[in-house]
Amino acid sequence: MKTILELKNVSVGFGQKELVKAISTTIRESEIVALMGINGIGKSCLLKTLIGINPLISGDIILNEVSLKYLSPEKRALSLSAVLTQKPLMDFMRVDELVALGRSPHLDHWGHLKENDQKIIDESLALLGINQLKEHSFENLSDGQQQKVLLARALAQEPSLLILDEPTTYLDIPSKIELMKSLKKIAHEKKMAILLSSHDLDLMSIYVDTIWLIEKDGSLISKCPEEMKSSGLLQKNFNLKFEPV
Amino acid sequence: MKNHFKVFILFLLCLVFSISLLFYGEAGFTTQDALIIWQLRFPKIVVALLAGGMLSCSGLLLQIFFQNPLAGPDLLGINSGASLGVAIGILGSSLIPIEFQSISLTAMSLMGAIFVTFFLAFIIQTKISKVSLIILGLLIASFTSSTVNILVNFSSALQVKNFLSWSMGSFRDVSIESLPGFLFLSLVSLASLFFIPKKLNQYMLGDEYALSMGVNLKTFKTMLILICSFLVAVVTSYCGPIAFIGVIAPHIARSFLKRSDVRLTLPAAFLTGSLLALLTEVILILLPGNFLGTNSLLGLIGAPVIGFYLLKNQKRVLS
Repeated sequence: MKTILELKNVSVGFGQKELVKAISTTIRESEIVALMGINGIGKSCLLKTLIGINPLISGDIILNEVSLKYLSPEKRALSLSAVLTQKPLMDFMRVDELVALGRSPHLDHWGHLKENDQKIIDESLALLGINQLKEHSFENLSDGQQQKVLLARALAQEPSLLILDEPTTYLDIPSKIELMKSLKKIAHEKKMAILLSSHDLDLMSIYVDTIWLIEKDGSLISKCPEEMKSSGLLQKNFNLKFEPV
Repeated sequence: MKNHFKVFILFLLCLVFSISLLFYGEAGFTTQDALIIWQLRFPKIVVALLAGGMLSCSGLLLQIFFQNPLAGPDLLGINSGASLGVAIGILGSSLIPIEFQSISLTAMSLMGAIFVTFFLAFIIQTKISKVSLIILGLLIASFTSSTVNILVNFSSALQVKNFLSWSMGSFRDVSIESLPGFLFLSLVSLASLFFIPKKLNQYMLGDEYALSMGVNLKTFKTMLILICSFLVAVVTSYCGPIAFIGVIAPHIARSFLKRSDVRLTLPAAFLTGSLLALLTEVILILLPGNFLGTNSLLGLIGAPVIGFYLLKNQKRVLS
């Protein structure tokens, strides 16, 4: 299977302070990877570096066989899209307008939607089952619905790598399961690689293919969920002790 | 289609106001004097249409930039720059060499405003935060007002009165001779708006999302501030500092359309701004005597409107 993302000795952090040190790993197409680790270990920082929000300290990130160093933001947006923790604040923004923005990297400077773009927008909405919300105002939706709309926008961008920063955080359990099922479906149907950060250990071990664990020393361990569970590394990193009461 | 119809209604209203201002105004209803109609009323209508629209567009851009529905052109200190230029032109005329005194006040205020504009464009390059940018605008305002105060001490009563009457703002000060210059600058500044509709829409999701959709933030922010400042600079130079239209009009337009797409809201905001400017002219014409300035009227209406909005939507404004 095709490699979508390759990290070579990547170090990320804030300023010169390195949080994640010299990690090397890959993501293949249709693969779902969960990025885990305790708060403040550098999960968001790593994701934001991939998106281009934070600068890369050292190493090389290769997306679809091209180094990010040689990709302009415009070009990068054609193969990478994101669902972030930041919520849009503008009022009067309609769901269809917001999802249509996902097409914008593919459009001219005026942002004119062609027939094909409209089709992709409708498909993204349908895939998440939110067609009926099209004309609703984004600000009036529930957290779960908002999350779906933001995901639909990211899908409409037609990326080969989809990045989600803590997508399950504000959702109740049924919504979490629904979201993970949709992601699984998307990864297989669209041959998309998905990288998400999360704290939901149990949920991730059911739905993802690989877990990346950032350890306290800034190194990264990549294992499938079963191996990760049996290795005892999760317990060690999350300070989970099973003492009889 | 429904939204295009709403924009069309705004356009029709502008047309009705413009035509009625052409037929009723200075020298009453019955005048057939072509001189009054074309030399007095016509420039006033064109200026109100464009100036109101430009202020409103600039306000909409800044509301998107600051992600705050109450942001407006007054925040950035561009008006203050223009005021300083004019103050030097009127009040400091005894201090500057005689060969420079022929420079018109419009040119002086344009220079003041453009100076602040370039200063802001330079500052934006340094990744200044949005709150700091607003504070910087306040600092520019207090710096210029201190300078103006010093100049007042050196000036005659007549000069001070001239400066004060400029600072009250008016759409009537552009003569038919200087109208082409105003038209040219207005159209150039408005044309610059056509470069950024897609990026503005993307930016509505915030810095990080915009970046993830391929917006080069530094270039975009510099362009946005330059365009906003240029729009305001042109208006202030010809009409004086006009208050409130830039804050209220874009908000009315967005509430009316209930949409966020800039390709719809920008024309709507322009027309709403024009409409408010024309409306103040209509009210000023209907009021007997000449005691109210444009800004006094706008302040009397604008301040309570914004106050009411603040109280009603505290959460949204402060978030």
